[in-house]
Amino acid sequence: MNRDDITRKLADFILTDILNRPDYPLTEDEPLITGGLIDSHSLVRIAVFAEQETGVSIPDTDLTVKNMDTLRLIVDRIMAER
Amino acid sequence: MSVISLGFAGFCALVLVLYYVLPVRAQNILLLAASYAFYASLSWAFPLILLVMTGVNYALGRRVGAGRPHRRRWLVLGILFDLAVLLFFKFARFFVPDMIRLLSPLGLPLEGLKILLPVGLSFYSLQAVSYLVDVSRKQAVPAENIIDFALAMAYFPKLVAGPIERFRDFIPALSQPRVVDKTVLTRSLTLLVIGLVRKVVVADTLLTAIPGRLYSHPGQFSAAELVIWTAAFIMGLYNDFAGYTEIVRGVSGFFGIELSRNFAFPLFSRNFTEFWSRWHISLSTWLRDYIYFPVSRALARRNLSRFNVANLVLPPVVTMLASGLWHGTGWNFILWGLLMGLVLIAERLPSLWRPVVAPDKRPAWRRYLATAAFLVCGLLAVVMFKASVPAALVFWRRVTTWTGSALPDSRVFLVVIPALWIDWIQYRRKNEWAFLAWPRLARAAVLAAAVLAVFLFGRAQINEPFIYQGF
Repeated sequence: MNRDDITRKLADFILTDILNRPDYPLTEDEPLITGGLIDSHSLVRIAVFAEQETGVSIPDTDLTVKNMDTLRLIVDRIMAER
Repeated sequence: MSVISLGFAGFCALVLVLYYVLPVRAQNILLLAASYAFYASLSWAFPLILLVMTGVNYALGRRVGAGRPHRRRWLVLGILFDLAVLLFFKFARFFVPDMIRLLSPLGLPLEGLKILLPVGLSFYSLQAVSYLVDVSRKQAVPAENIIDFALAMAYFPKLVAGPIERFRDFIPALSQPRVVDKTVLTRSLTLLVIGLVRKVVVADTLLTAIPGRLYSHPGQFSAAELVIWTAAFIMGLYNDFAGYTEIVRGVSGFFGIELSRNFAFPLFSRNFTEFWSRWHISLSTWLRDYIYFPVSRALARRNLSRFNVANLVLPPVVTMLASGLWHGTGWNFILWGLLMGLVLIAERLPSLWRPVVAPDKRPAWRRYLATAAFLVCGLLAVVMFKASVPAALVFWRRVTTWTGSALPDSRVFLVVIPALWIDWIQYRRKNEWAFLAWPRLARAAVLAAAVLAVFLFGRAQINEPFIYQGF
């Protein structure tokens, strides 16, 4: 799975399973945590989804604004671990 | 020695002079010695407990970091040790009288024995647990230099009430060159002055004005008095703890050691989920990283659905119960934790069915309603911090039925104005040093007013001990 595939799968999961808004125009740089769109519960679900889809486990202490605030940051984090 | 006493000011001045006279390699040794001296000034017994905790966690950290075959065993042993020490002292007042009664036939001189909770233990024991967990997860390197590790545990500005630092960042920072330039000095001084205003002018004034029987005999007060004095308590509690944190961050800045921020305008939160990311941040993130996330991740791995009831309920309830028990050992704290956990679940429920909209993009009426609901719930929940369960029930009954009509003397609430003003300035700019962008004359005028107010209020009243020092 390449970077684009991961980005697309994560975006789909966030839009349909987290935000309940499949038509929302989510960009790669939209702030998810600081923008108030996702909370700790959603953050864990995104991390577990990423883990199941890519095999990359993001440690609990790395589920922070610095690492996970945007789709791009999350994908960067996954790509760095692969 | 209180952090706002002249003794502490003199102590810091002396340590600072020696700190900058000594060569760099001796500075950590000086800070360690000063930290133990400071701790001993509170009680001669406290440093002994800290010393044992330091030695055990240093040794176990090395064992855990050495890897298999017994890494997990050493980790569990370390966590159990830290929690056992914490729980022993937290619960001592419950079992010590029974223990004395049981041992009385042996003729031991135990009569009058009291076991005090060592000040700061609740903070440095959590730091030790997170250190061991991080080492076991290979997210922290086991400390090699025992001086650095001992200083991370004992560093006097954060010893008695945090912030709860993560050693994986804090210990490496202790061996780095320290920069104390004009910017650092200005920011440290700003924090120090804001902290003193919060504590001496706002918190002490409000907390000493609250009637002593308010939470033990709420039936003697009108609903308006209960509500207004509780609002005063919230403002007092916030400014007491935020003031403490800003003072110690300011002091630490003079040594070139940065401490974590603990508050980010919590009074402007729109719900409790947001509030817990703004209030006592170092504890909230500790609870999130070492309790909430592991519990939630384990449950999500079994069932990733957003309708997974266990994952909706258990992580917030377990985390907030742990938070309640950390704050105190009475039933009121357990009930408070449970209540907070349930509130967090309630805030999450709408997102199961409805589209999630960022708070800033919601209609204004929904934002104001949410803030009002948050403030009312917060006001009712904080009662559990001060009152026993039966007294809290009386409090809630009187407030919800709006019994009585007496009003408190409102003059004392004038001190709330500067506190809200400080928060508003910082919140609007999203910058705690927003004052530094002002023209020089305005800065000088505010600084002079702040110093004068601290001097006048400090002389006029007895300084209350910091509330969080008691946890």
